[in-house]
Amino acid sequence: MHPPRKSNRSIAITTICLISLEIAIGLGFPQPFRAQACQQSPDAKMFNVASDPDFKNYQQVVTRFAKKHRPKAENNFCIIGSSTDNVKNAWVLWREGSQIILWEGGSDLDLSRRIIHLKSDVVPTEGDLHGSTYLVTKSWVDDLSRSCSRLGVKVHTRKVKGSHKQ
Amino acid sequence: MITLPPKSTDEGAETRLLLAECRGPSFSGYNLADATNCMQLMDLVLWNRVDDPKKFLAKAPTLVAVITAKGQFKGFGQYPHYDNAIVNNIQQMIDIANNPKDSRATQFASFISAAIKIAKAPQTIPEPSPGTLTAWRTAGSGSPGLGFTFFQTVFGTAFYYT
Repeated sequence: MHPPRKSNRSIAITTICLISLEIAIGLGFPQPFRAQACQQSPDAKMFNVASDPDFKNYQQVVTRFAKKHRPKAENNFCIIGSSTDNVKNAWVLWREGSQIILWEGGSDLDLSRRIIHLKSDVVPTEGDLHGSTYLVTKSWVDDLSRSCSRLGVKVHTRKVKGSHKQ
Repeated sequence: MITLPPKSTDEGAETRLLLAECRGPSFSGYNLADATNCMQLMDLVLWNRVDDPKKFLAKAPTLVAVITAKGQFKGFGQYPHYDNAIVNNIQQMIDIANNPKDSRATQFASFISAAIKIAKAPQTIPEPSPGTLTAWRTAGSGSPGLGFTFFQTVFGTAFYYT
């Protein structure tokens, strides 16, 4: 049992966050991505992973990931860099896997601390989130997908030769 | 030799959650000070939720009830059983930390030790927000829902208060 903690709580002040429905379309690099964020939440600036030293190995990383998880078929990825308060990461949209994977650099996507499964982790509206650390809204997914289609880099992986023998 | 607190304890549950949710040494731009700050804020969020469990879909005012609340923390809904990918990632961190031949051992050991220390601490950090810090999100993934106000981003994690 954890020891009781000193009560140093303030009175909760509930501020209704206005939902921004701005859609991140028609943006160039770098531009803020305001996908259904609170008014006060930080803007994420998009960047091109191909020109960033921490992410320029994107092709190698997603190809290795595809070979490990779905070697017997073709795979399509879209990758878009996102920077908030000078911390960079990238979102990897994996079409066939129905996943959006947070990539924070490094060579192994399996180490990701956030994998959004589109079949189970997407809710209709912000009112359905209830403070969740990982569920996302459909409009956030749609906005990210649109931004990635326009601005992200795409990787197509082929079926691994001989994989049908496995 | 680093070992985690037993899974059955609050400290064990929280340590595993912190290691799963905080950006660690595997990723670019890592530094222990930011990671520690991030985990201290996560610790505060968890214990603030213990004070008001129903609002965050927890069935009881306990840490495990908060962590297992429906839709709140990815992979921890059935704790002490938790997502295999998270189990593997945490084990990989421990293996690196305990391997003196691995050049990353010190960095990983410091990160894991910080998580354990925060989970075991008898006090949270003082409330830094104007309200009650009650949520976090991966930066750039939208808000945690209605009624939350953004506080600050720490090392790729955005914190919110109510």
